[in-house]
Amino acid sequence: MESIEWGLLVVNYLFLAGVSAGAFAISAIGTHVGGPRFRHVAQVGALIAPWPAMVGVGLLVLDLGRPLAFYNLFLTVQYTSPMSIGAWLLSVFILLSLAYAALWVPAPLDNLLRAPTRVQDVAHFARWILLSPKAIRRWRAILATAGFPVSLSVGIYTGILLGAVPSRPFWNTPMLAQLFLFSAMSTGTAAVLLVTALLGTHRANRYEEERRLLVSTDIVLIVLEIFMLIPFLLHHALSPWSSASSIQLILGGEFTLWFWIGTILLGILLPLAIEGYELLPVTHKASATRHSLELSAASSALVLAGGFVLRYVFVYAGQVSHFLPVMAH
Amino acid sequence: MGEPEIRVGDIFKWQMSRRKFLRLGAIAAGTLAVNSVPFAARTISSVESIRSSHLPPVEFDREVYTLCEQCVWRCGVRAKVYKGRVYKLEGNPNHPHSNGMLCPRGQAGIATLYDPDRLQFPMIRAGDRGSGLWKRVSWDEALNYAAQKMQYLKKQFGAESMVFSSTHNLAQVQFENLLRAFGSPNYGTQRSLCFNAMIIANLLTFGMQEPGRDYSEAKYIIYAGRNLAEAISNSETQQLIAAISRGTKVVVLDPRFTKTASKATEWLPIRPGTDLAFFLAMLNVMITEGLYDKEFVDAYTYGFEELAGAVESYTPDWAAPKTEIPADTIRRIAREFALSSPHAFVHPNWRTSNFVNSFQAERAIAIINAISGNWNQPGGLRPAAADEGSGLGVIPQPPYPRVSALRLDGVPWKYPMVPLEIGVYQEIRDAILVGKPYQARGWFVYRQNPIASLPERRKTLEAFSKLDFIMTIDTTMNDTAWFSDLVLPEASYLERYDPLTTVDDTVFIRQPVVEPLGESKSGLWIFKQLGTRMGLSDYFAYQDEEDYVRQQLEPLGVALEELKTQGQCRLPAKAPEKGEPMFNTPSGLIELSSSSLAKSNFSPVPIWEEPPTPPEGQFYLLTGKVAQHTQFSTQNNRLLHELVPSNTVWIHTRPAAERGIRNGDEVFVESAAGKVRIKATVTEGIRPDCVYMAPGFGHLSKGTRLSYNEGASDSELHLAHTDPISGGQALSETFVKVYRA
Amino acid sequence: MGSNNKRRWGMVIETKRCIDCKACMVACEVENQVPLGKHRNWVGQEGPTGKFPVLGLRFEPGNCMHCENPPCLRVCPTGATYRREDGLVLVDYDKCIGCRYCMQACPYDARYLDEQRGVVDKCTFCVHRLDAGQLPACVETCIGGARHAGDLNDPNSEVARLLARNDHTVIYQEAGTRPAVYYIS
Repeated sequence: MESIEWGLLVVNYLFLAGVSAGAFAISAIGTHVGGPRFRHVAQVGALIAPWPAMVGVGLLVLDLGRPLAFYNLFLTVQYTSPMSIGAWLLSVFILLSLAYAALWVPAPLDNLLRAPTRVQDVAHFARWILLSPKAIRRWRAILATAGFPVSLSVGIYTGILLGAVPSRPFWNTPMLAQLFLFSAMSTGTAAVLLVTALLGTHRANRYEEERRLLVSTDIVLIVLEIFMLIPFLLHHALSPWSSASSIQLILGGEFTLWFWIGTILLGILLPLAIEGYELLPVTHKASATRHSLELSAASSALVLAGGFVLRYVFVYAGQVSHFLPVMAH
Repeated sequence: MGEPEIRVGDIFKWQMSRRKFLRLGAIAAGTLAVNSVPFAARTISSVESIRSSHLPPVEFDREVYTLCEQCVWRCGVRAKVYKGRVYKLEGNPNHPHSNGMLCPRGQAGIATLYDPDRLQFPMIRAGDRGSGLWKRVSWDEALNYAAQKMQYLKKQFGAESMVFSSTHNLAQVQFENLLRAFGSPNYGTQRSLCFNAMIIANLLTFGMQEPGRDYSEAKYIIYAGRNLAEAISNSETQQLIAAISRGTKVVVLDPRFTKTASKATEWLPIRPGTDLAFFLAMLNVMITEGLYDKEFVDAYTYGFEELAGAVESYTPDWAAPKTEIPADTIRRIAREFALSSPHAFVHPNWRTSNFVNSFQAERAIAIINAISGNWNQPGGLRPAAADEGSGLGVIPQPPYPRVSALRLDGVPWKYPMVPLEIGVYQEIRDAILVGKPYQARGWFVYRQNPIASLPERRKTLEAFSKLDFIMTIDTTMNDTAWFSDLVLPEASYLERYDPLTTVDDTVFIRQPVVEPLGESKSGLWIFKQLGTRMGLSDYFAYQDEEDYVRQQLEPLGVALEELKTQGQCRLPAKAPEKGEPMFNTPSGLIELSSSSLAKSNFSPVPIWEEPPTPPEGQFYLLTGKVAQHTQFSTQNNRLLHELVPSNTVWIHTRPAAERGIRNGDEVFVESAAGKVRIKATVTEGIRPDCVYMAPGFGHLSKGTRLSYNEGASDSELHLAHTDPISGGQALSETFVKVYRA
Repeated sequence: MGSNNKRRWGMVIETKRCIDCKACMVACEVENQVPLGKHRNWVGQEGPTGKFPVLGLRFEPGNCMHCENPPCLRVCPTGATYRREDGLVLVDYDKCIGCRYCMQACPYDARYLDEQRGVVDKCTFCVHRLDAGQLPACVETCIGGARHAGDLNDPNSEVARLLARNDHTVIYQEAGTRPAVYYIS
């Protein structure tokens, strides 16, 4: 029985959760590091962080055999189940990222950022007072600090979800958690870059500094992804026969083209080339980065697509992989 | 379901679209009213509320003992009824054919009962034959129509113009009653497509149709075919596996690596058609080396000298090139067999419709068993039990009218050795085609499917076109019903009484577990109705099914209610058998040389007959069985279809490569009789000069919607070759070309 | 069954006796109302192996192994999958949300999604029959006598005696699941 039980809904969820986690993480970094120059990055990251994860969770609930029974997830904590931990984790992340996003709403919506000053005013919204910019900055920092490990955990747990399943040799490697984490970070960064690039068409300053930060970050993350994938491939190829056989799925098997063209070429190498090209003048001390909005948008879109294909390949190939021998039945 | 029912008088078309039938001359498209439970929606009652105690039931409304009818082994069944539906069938532990176990077909019986394609009311054809256009009629109209048609044909052309045919079943005695009362000599059963060679060979040798086999002490068993692991005869299959587990040596001669062959101690991929050579050589070795029971031969057999002389030239060296089995192997097996005698037997086989020389092979097998002295010995052959039904009460009927017409199947005028009750079925079809010795006009089919089962399917369809009236009684719209003029719905085996049957000294009952679906009726009821409407009511001296069974029970003094509760009862003890074996042959002895054969100018001892071989580049077309299907009747069963929906053609790796055929490719298989398109299974498990197709697929009827057009029919390919002695078919004498589609 | 010994339900399968008739599959489907197209048990086939005319063929019936260390139980996020004292691994359908994580975790592919009910289901060793003193449906009907079920902890049970007398293995030992279904080849 080699049916694909977890299909595109699950792939989408893993991808979207990763994007959210990465966007939050980059926003959290932007909040603490670099000050006003990277405020825009932090803002974009914060504002986009909650939504992909919420959509993903919605898809996941729809994917359940009994969607209306989803609440059972929250009647217990099953410590041995990555999915149970993940359900709680994701809930915390979503609430946190929503609160965090609220702190970053642009004017005039920031007039809604009010809080009660006294306990007895909690129920009376009219008496809530506008948060001071200092308070806002303080809360942003607090939530960024608190949420950063949560977002990393979300990135890691999507990998553990698959990686902790010994019955699927293609998944069963501890490296999957790191791989998915880096993929989450890089797709999150790419999402922020994409939005920034698209917004940049309407702004005067075109956010060059911010985009440079993002591009550099993304390059680092992509390179780290490569460093994760190579050991992954080697590890599987040299492993006991179940794993070795499973790696054939991307070394000649049915997912080969998806992996090498989708994930590696389009999702890693091409963006790397584009982003390297964008940053080249900087490293050669030229005056300004030779970047266009189009290049930024293109490379980030490719990274996002590549991240999606990575999830697709792993989720699907994993379900095709099996302990050997498999008896025909 | 809220869909309009098809009422009496409505004309409708049976289409392929899921459970929708286009109703002509009526308001709108209607559906066939199916008040059975659609199988796809089979669930336990509490599907709405999922409770944690959501488990199958262990308490049932009632448990009813009855008999399975998914094949002719007729295992005892315990039917469990839950909320008015048959929930599960299990083997009756007290029935010797099942011992509490059921094969996959028996287990799937509820899918036969609740088949959405069940016939539910009588129908008369409203368009051309095979058009799928039917008119629903009442039972009255249907029975009167049938009676009138048959009476008309009888008046115009004589009763013999009406052909009756049926495959072995429990109500057959009354079907035969009907046709004899009607006055027709033309009765076709499936026997000549199956085991004529075996039956007649054993009849001539031992005086009984089918000797029993004692597995419990057998140390050595030889099979030529008889794929018990797939052609499952429940209890016998159990016994074989148990015997193998105990260390019994099993030798299987088969051109194909069947599942039985895979369990055997030794599998010999013998060339098709040469089993006879193998067994003649065995006889040669046994006689030459004195490896036989001399005392037994002297005391109980007749014609040994003649036999010895006849097999003198059939040495293993002679047989080796023919069988493609080394001479030393043949010698060794003969010696091993003799060494284990009398706790050893060569299985008499069952379906022996392989080659014209299969009859001689069966004679050789019977004789090997005879001279080994295994008769009535532990681990040897056993005298067959008493005839089915003996000891029970008999429904009285007046003497039958004299029949002077010749039988269309050539018995005995063309086939002197074939007993009347066995017949030569395929001859009837051929006689209809040529209209000799006279033209048949009608065909009444009961629980049978000649369009699917007779070789050269095209000819059968053509024969149908020569007939004025064809009627079929069945539970589903099988291929034969599809091309009939009148179709009557029989109640399934779980919904009816049938005449009582006996196994050894025990009587078993088939009784209704649930009410019949729709308007379906039992065979017993239908035959009485038909008989009465033809003025033959005297021949059907029973009120209804229960009365019939009560009359059968009379001599036993057992009440019907008790039999229904227990499922069985004992026959009164018979006088004990005398010690000496008695053989119902002309000489009273086991006839190694058969005087009956000699009288009809056939060789009295087994002789070699060279079988035909395929021309260059062609293959023997083998047939066989799969464990999940019974001939042509189970392919529409949802549970069995799920396991084996279709068939393929097996071809050996080498000829497949030569033809560019890979596993799963579509190919054509073509014989002189027809051509089919089918997927190929490329395998090492078959002789390179053979191909194999599981039988029973390629249904033509759109009324069996799951099985329609699934796979291919080997009857489309089979040529009709008949053995002049036994009348048995020679299905493997069909040679085929196989090539990529 | 000693009162101090905890009972542990298990199966022993003698593959040499299996003829691949699949009566066990039909019996299970009917007994447990398994949806068409899904299976709680199966018969695996190995072969034909070899080259004509030296060939082999082997059948391996299987079903949920009711492991002592079930991966399905570990990954279930709602605790729907649980293990009874007597070793049976069962599903609480009220808690099951149909996430199918257990299906991914099972090395034997023993579970299926019951689409109509939206929950994941599998072989229960016919717990309802065991509790009523009957054999599982598949065992009862096995014509070859290949399937045996009983209390592994009772030294007098058929399964215990078969294991004591014969070499036996389990499937995918390396998965560390410690199945309750043993194979004698």
